[in-house]
Amino acid sequence: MSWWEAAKVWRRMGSALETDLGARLNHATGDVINKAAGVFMTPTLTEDIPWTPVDKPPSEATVSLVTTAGFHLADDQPFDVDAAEGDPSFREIPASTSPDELRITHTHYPHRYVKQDPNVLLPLDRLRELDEAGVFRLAPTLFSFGFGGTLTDAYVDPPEGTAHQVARRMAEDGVDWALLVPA
Amino acid sequence: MLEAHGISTVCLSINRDISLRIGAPRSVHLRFPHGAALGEPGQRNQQRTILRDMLWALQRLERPGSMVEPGYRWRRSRYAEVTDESFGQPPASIGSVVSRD
Repeated sequence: MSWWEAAKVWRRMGSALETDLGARLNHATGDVINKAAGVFMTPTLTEDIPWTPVDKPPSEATVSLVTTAGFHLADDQPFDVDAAEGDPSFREIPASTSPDELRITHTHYPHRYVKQDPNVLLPLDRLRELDEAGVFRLAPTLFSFGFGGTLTDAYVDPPEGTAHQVARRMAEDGVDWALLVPA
Repeated sequence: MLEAHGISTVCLSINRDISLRIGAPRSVHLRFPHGAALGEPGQRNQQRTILRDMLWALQRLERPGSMVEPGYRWRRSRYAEVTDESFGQPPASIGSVVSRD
């Protein structure tokens, strides 16, 4: 285990973010954090942007959602929050899951909002309402990643990269459109 | 990546630079805090508005790497009720659009 993991750096940061002062500082310095993350942690896509055009109205589309907020069910294995480079795995969230069945393991954002209302990162209630109203068809499965660090190969290398696995699961579910929500 | 598998995507962006740099195909940028991408807890109209904006972006954006900025202000903006019909009726202009290139 690296020194980073032994010192539980991310876990300590997570605890700090849960305090009032920590959350306020995170909000106040949000622009700086975002800028730094953009500069230091973000790969630049240099090729053409992959694209699937939209060719149907929402009422005919099957819609799923992916979040990076670290959601899972109580029985699922939690995400590894100590790993220095993050945990590239994902969990499946059935569309019928109720809010009290959800758990979160993630140390990189303040949980104060999502604890009050999981919909702010995983809008299950809103999506179910829209499905019932016929606005679109909600897919049977939604997906959550945890803190993934810097888009490592574990995500993107085909065929076993976790992003590819999610894509295949979505294809199995007949998904046309995916909404992506960051933590 | 999902696009390469035939799935159209739109992402919520809370970091403009990252989303543009990684080449998110379609994104909706909001200056909301980390951990509150769809807005304030318990605010159904706000959440529906943002979801609607995401569906509008899917239907309207034609240039890969485009980003819409609705300009909602955290805790300051007010959100009207969103009808179910409006999700499938994007207006001709969905707000200011920027793109990577």
